[in-house]
Amino acid sequence: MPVDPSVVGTELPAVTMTVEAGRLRFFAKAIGETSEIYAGPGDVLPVPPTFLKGGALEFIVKHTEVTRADGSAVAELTSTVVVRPPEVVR
Amino acid sequence: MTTPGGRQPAELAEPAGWVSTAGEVRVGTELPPLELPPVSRTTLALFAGASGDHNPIHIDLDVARSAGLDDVFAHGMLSMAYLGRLLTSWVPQDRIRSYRVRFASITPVHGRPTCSGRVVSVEDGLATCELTVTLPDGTVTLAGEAVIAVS
Repeated sequence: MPVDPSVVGTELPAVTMTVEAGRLRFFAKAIGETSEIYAGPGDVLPVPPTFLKGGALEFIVKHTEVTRADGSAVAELTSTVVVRPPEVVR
Repeated sequence: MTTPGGRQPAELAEPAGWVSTAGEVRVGTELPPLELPPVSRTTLALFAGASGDHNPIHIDLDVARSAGLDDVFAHGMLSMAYLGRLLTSWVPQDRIRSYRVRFASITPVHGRPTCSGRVVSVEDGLATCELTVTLPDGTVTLAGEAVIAVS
């Protein structure tokens, strides 16, 4: 097994970030989104569904919870990374 | 969604085009497909910066070649974002209960993705949509599923 099973249950430290409107407009531009909802002027824009993603470490299945400053839920993210055994990776 | 300052984002102003979910969503309903222009190197460069995924395999031809590839290829999350656009132009995003995808094959640079979706079940006010991103030759690059609140 290419991934050490002992990583199961590893808790990553919480990360806090400010999602700034300019960053969201840049994301909208990159994905060709021109709707006023996501790319309009102003300093409050909704975070689109795939803007949030888990951190840099890649385990087999990783759960990430995203909350607002007041602790209310924004999203629950799950990413699954398939790591092939080295002998089949060319 | 209300911000701490009490302002509300523009998303509450409903644009023309969102499906009126009460009666229009039933099994077999097709989401209006989203046809994208060919994925350019510029798009890949912008998406690398905008998404924070700086893996050079998507933006640096030298790195792609040294990995044995002919050329760079698109970020999987770019296609997932395109599929997200398919959803958010169909319903307001606060109706999306879950959204998952499987990355089935790569999208080469200059590939032309088309996003499509179809309602496969409606139960207890929740519609499950089957989602795909395909290339003109029929290759499925992403296959996924979204659950949308419809009542």
